[in-house]
Amino acid sequence: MTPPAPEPVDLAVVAADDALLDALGRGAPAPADDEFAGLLAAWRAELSAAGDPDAGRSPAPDRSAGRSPAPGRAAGVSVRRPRPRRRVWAGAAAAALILLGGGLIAGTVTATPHSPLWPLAAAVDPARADVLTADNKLADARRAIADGRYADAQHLVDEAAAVVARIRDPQQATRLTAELADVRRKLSGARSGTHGAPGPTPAPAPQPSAPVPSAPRPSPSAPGNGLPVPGVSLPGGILPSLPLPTPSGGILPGLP
Amino acid sequence: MTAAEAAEAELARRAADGDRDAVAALMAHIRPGIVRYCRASLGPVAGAFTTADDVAQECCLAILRALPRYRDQGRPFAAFVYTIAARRVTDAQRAASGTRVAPADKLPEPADRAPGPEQRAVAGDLTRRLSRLLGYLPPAQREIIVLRVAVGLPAEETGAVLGMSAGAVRVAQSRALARLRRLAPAVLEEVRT
Repeated sequence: MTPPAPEPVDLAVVAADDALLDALGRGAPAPADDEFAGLLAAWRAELSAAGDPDAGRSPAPDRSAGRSPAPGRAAGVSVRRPRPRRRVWAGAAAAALILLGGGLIAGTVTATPHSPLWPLAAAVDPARADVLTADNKLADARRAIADGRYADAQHLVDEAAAVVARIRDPQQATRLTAELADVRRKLSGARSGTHGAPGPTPAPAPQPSAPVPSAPRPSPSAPGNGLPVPGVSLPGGILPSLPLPTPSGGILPGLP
Repeated sequence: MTAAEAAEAELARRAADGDRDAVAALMAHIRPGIVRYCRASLGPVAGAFTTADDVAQECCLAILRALPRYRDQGRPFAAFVYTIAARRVTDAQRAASGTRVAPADKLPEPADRAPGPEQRAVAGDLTRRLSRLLGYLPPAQREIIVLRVAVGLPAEETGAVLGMSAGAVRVAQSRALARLRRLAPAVLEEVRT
């Protein structure tokens, strides 16, 4: 534990700094009288908060959770148990991890909500998962409307709305909100045109059975299946097979 | 190795052996730290962390790919994770610059001075300034600060990542803090103007 320092060090300062960094690493506030520590604390908070891909989900497990603020720590990392919904779905993904090797990686990049690797893909990139889930549910809702299954369509619309509400990417949120409104209009229009009964979901401009002009959208026959999603940049997402490209392949936007 | 580190290594071992719950749990567990690591290392671009988050995802995928080769050898799992992440971040930096990345120029003045949504501009500003400040540290000290503060690794795990003893990490981080405290007023003012 004795540092091989080439020059004398003040052990009291070293211990104090260590305790400070432990606290900052846990996301704890900085001491009020330490301006620079406050800067580090704000930096740490900014890294966690700004456009957090995990926003709206369960709290991010903190590696330092449960640790004592003192330099000599013992508790360490709190390893959380898998959430039930992931328990249900993770089986095929883990098996594929062993069986498919590298193919798993490509699979998680291109996985869609109906794919066996979807649970793992969702764990790797929850933000992308939400976008694809919303796309998928809206496409299913459109099909349900076309088939006259209005109750199913309403259920899918409600599920899609819940997913869209937690999407943080402004571009995706705007696009999906517009699509959601369009599907709601179609559902309301189809219901009123067929049964003369208003749908339970408020619709701004219900129309009879005439198609509502809307922005181009994915084909209902292949909802979100491998389609590039605007604003979601996934490494290798446009590539059909292994190996997974490295960032050196020029897929990353240039740093300033 | 602490009990928690051992628990994490055990989770990783189960994941490497194909335990379905363990794979999902492990990825959910490590991902937030990787996101913060990439954001701290790469900084914002045009006021957003999009690039860093893309690299973070690449890190997760690379870790998934390497996971079957993971064997608990008494080192914290963090050493396995952040060694891979560091390589990915370095690759991204090289791809972005096209040349070797000089520490002080790691994050040169980004193009986020253009008017834009206020929140986006404000969101990345502190990270941009801190990145500039950290660029004045030797690479090892900078990595220590990122791992200790941004990721939240204890000194022992940070040492395992960097191949140093925990004591060496504590001395190095103390020197880094002293240097940062000394440089902060001038550097932050320089970035601000």
